[in-house]
Amino acid sequence: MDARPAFPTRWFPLLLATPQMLIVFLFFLWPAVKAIAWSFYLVRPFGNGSRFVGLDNYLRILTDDSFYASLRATLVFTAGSTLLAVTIALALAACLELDVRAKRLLRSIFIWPYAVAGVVVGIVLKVLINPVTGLLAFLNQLWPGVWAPHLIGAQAMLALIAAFAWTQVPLNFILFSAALQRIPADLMGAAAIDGAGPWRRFIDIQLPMIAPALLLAGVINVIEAFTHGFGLVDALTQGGPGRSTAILAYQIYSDGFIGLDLSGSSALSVVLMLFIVALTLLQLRFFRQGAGRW
Amino acid sequence: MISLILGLLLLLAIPRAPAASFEFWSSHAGAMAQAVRQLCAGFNAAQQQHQVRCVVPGTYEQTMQKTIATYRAAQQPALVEIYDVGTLDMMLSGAIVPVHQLMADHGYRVDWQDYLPAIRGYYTDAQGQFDSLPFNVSTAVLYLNTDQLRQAGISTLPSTWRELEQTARQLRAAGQTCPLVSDFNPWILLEQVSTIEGAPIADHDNGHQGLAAHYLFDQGLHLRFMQQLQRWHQQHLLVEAAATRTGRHTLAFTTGECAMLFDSTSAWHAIARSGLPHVAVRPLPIHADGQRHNSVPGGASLWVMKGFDRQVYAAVAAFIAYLQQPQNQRLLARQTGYLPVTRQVAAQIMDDPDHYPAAVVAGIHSLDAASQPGVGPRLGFFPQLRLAWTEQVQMALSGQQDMAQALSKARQRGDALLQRFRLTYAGPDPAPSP
Repeated sequence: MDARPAFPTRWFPLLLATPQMLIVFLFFLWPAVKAIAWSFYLVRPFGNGSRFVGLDNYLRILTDDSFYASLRATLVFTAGSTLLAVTIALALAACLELDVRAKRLLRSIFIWPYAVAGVVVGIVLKVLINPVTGLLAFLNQLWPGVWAPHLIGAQAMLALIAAFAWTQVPLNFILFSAALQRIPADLMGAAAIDGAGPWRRFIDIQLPMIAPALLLAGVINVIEAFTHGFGLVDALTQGGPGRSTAILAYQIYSDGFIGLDLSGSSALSVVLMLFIVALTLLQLRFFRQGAGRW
Repeated sequence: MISLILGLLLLLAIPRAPAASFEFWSSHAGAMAQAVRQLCAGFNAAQQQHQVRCVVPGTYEQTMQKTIATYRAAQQPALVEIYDVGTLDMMLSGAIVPVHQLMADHGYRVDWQDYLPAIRGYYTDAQGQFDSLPFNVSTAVLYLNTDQLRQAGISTLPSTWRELEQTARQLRAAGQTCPLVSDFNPWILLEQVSTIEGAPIADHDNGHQGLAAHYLFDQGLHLRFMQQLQRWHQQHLLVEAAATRTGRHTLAFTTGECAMLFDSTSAWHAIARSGLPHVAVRPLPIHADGQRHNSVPGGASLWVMKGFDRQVYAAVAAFIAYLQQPQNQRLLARQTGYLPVTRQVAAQIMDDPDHYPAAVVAGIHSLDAASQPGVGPRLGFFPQLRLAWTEQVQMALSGQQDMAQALSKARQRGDALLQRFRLTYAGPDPAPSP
């Protein structure tokens, strides 16, 4: 049987796809090509000239301490927020699978935070972490100076991780909830009759069966943290104190748009792009392997 | 009847005169935005020939980004307000018509010599000609809550750093938890303080003599000053804005949480509106053994962009002449706390100080009253140097390194930035853009 849809000519489907392809080209491919080109030049902001410097921009980045500081911040931020977001979402989803009252209501409440923009979360959190009036200000009354996220990088990073995880939990929750509901009730019932408690059932049945969803959520969270942590950092810490929260996405913005260093910023974004391509390839590999097993 | 309506519609559709209209971008909210709107409306009402459309594209930084983007797309505004640190980029952009040339071409005789020397020193090119029109000029001053000072038994206001420290100590002893607040902004602590003391932060005349400059701020006056500031911070005489209730330095002062504040003269409006009954404003202190130099003009200036026809430029020139009129400079000063730009208007204000904001009077003192000239820094990739300085100073304040190390690291990063800026703009005939 011929599974292909019937089109009058070969070019017709291409014509239908043109607007979409044009948009992809204009807003995704062209800027990426431009960034790669600029990363080999020293570019004047107003475009009245530029100078080819080959790999100099990359060499400079790779020998610069502040790049490694950014990289470290990015990795800590990504790993921390992904781990936290996956764990919390998993706990919430698993608990809702137990017989809970108001299951539907809770489910929609857990999804809400997804609608809140990163910048808004940042502004709210800025109030919450204030060392004089915020949630943890009582610590300073007990031990003066112990809670100072504006001076202590690790505390600023913790706040950032908590905030970003908060925005990621809803999507993970939906994924995990859906995966858990796909598990046949017979299986769970049989295990219960055999005397397996909720925890045993979770470890031996539910967790292995939703492994693909866990992996998918993990990969999505990692890529989100790499690319979309920017709004939150801008609103909450501006990369400070002392560059401790200057994740790569924020550094690219700050170099390119505030510092007007288009070439350095381009080289940095190409590096970030390579990271993300590598991550995506890794994800594809995992899924292909996984498809056979699960 | 129908023909009458059609006739009226036709009349409306025909432009009334060959009027040139142009767009002017400025980047303000609040009192300054209101003053700009008033100036634009005043210009449009004053004559029939020209029209200005005043647009607010965003913050200073966003306006710079959008100016670059629109220029590259040939959609730029004719006149745009760019912040002080963008000055060198604009001068080297090849995208502007120098304002002195524009005014001369259109037959306006402007007395450029009447501009305050500190402003001339900052905004003119190597030939001493104005490339842009200084518009909203501010400078850093010290705000004091005199009620709180009086309660602590202080009657004389500090004018040296030592007196300021003494005042802060007395306030602290009298139970004030936040004697002095600062957001540790390099614009004030690095640029203004150094210039007022006559200590350049970079060689080659703070960058005015070409692109080959190197930074000097990791030694001498600035290092000593920052070490002293760090001691004040440790002793809780100086509180970081982020460690106050509101997290913002101006608000920390207006809410009465802090008794003294370093801020721009343009913060005056927010402070006056807050209802604090007794606020005094003074120029930033100096060291007792130093001599006071002119401070640096901050704020922004107006740049005329390339790419328009003569009619549009005639309108722009008329608008610039309008903005320079003494009554319009005075309007800006009175409503916003920004400073006048010409000596004539500065003198008028100093003759009648009670009718102007105290911040404007202190600002003119700081920018002009000194007999010594002072030249503010005009250096490449300067916004990034400010970030590097802030990063390193934050790490010093949190005790991860000492202040000397912090400033030395910031200087190294700054020198690398200057070198790259030099390379970016070096060469008589660079390759075309990719």
